[in-house]
Amino acid sequence: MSDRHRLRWVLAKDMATYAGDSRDGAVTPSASSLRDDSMSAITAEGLVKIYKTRKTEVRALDGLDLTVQEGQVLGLLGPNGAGKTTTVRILSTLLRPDAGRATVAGFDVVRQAQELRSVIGLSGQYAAVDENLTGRENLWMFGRLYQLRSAEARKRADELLEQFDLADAGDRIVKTYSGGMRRRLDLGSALIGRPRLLFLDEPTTGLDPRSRLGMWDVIRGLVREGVTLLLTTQYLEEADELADTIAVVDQGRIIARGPPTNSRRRWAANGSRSSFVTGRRSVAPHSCCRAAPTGMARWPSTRTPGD
Amino acid sequence: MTAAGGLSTRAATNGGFRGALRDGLIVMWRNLKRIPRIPELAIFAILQSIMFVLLFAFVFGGAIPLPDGGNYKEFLMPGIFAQTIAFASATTTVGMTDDMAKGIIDRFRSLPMARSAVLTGRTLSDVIYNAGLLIVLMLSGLAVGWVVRTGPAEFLAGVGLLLLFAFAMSWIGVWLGLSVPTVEVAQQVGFTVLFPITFVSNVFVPTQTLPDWLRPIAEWNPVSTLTASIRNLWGNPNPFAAEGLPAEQPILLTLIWIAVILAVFVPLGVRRYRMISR
Repeated sequence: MSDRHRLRWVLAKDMATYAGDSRDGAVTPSASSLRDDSMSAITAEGLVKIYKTRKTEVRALDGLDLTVQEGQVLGLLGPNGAGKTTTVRILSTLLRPDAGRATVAGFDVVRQAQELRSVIGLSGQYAAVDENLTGRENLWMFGRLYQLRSAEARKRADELLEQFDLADAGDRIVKTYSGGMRRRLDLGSALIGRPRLLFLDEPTTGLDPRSRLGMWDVIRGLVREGVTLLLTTQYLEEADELADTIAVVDQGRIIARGPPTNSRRRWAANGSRSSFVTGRRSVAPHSCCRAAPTGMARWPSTRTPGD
Repeated sequence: MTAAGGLSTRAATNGGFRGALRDGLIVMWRNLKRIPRIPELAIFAILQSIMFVLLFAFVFGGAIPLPDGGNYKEFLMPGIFAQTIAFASATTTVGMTDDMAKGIIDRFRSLPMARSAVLTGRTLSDVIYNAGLLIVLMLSGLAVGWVVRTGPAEFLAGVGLLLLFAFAMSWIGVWLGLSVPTVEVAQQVGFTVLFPITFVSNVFVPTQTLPDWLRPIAEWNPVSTLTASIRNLWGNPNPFAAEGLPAEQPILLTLIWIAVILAVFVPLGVRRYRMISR
């Protein structure tokens, strides 16, 4: 990502902010046509998802707009049933939206789903690993299905077991793992193909405080490596700790968006201002967020602009 | 573009028939790995079949005379094999529903793998699982006095027919497994459907004893045509109706049944699988 590109993005964004009609928080056509899509890792416009049962119709998503820049961490914060999981499932190709469109890593989530799957990783709130296989077998299998060669999948499995402190448990059947270990294995499975983009759906829900802190460390490590991350959580504290930008979702829409409130982080981010030549605004062109503090709220990444 | 770019070591075949087969075999490997780790599943499947052998060989069998006076236990065993194979679709259903409930299907669906692999892997591993069940059952059949009276070619033809039927039934199981909400419902539906199919047949009784209106149903039943086929192939007593297509061409009819089941339930299963994303 070059500075020139970043500048282009900022200009487009500013124009969108000033030119766009943002009364209802929706991105107007002029704004979306100005946006340089190659700069955003995730772009979603007007996503609608309706779950129909025999008697009821639930609008899980009701025109959700979302943008996440390359290398950024977006925290999607909201209560149960707000539409967080549905958003993640649509962006990771598991669900088709009923309306709206979304691009992830430059791929359309519906039309280019298979291409998209080879650059993303997904870890959900329920550990989606096979509990009757060992940790190592799980990782090897997912590596193979990620189309790695067998030897490469084996090597990757060893690396991930080491990285997630599961090396000793690697040959045990997952059924014998604790909740925290399962969650770490699930996250490891999502990373098997070194994805550029990671979706974490409530990665610490149900974990004890110590496992939660451990998981936070792991996630921070991933972010330092430059992964673009979309994280959902029910906890403001967690979003504060991990995200560059927090988007509050309720009843299937983004109702607020802005930098985290954590003062320590803001201080740290301000301290690193000089390393970012062009700067980056994390306030979306939403009227609801105009009042939110603008400016830098980026995690002081070890990545240098331009890699 | 980012520090963590995609791995460059991709397998040579990504996509196409070979890719689909490779992914299917990996899922099959996973399903087979699970079998010895949940030994209760296989053990109770075998015990259930052995219970039927014992019940019918020693409790009911004495009261069921064969029209031409053949050995009931020899008559029974091919029926038990066919019944076990038919019940195998319930194994597929439960396995499929379980995977859906555990979220592992979501993991598979988020990977750049062949979309068909989850279904082909499941049905292929179930055929192998059934082959294992058959071996154990045949050994217990030999213990109660069942024998194959023809040559190895006929024996293998019978086994092949049983496994083809298992494959077809497995696809019904896939469709059902993707259509029901929980493992418990899967089990209930499986047994509600499978008991009449396997009992309204020639598995335990000669169809001659059935009322006239029920007899054609029992004789055209795929479980019956399969049982009659292997009884004929292996030289075991087969007191089937003297005339009519089921009596004259059971093997052909069984093959047609298998083709029809596959033609209907493979597309249905695949469609169901695609519908998950709706």
